[in-house]
Amino acid sequence: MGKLSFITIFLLAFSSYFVLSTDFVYASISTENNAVETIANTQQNTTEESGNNGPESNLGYLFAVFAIVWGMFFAFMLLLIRKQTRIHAEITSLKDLLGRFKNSDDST
Amino acid sequence: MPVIIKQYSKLTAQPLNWLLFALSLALIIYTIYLVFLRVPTDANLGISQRIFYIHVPIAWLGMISIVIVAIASAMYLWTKDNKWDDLAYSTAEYGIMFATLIIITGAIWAKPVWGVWWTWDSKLTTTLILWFIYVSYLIIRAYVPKGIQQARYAAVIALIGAIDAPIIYLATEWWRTAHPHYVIGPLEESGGLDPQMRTAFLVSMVAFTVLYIFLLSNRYKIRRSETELDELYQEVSIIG
Repeated sequence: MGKLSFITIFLLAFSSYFVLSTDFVYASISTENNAVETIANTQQNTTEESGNNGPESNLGYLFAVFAIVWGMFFAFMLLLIRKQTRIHAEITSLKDLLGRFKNSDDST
Repeated sequence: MPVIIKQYSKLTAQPLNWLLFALSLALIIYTIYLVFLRVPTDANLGISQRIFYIHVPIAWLGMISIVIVAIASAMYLWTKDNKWDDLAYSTAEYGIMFATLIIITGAIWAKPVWGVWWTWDSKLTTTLILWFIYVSYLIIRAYVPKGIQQARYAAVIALIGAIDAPIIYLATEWWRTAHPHYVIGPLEESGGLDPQMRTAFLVSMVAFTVLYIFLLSNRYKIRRSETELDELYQEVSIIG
């Protein structure tokens, strides 16, 4: 079960990339928030300046965000699992050591 | 690698832990489905608006983390119980990860929308301050010798740092900022999010929060094991 969930979580990390290649649904109306519109105008100017104002022109940025976020999550989880492995090994060996000390004390 | 898989299966072995993991996984898959296949693309911001569904939940977790760190630190100062200190430390580790992700995802979103990676906007600046608070907290943890003093210094930093959380949230209200006004929540303005966008956003918030609970509970358990290990080393050094 653990192996399966481990594989699943990695598959999930990369699934966003494949999902991105599908067609998108476009809204005819955006949010009516003024501030969003203000920023949208800035964006329009920015994209016009760069000559890159297609609807999917920012796909790279979206992919970057998903890759970085999930990459960092999994890296952090791996670090934790490694740490857990090390700590458990150390605790077991120290408990063994203490047990041996106590046994030798009892025998003397 | 087999060792990691073995440990990972141990991590998800307890029923509640397994339930949290399964629930967070299911919710994240559903969020990805909603974000990429169901929600409409914003007519003005285009595809980059979809960063919103990951950027805002991460920002929420980054801010809630400092509040948890502060509450746990206050409880530690009050009760002197190491469990609270362990909770504060575990949460701070996630806090810095989320604070880093807020800044990175925000910068990546800002580039296509504002045309710059970074600007000294009030919300960005206060978030950067939050990042420095987490860094200073972890520096104290790393460099001050272990013990009561270390926990006390860190607790004070956390309590001061918690003041930043409401400032970040209210920055849009208090100062002129490039960030949009509230499209959801108690300070939401009329004509906020499209209903489909709202649903996707709320599902994303729940998904990230459940994942956060799962990760934090496990980090806390590991931290308790670290404390147990320190105590064992002390016991061994006394006997030795």
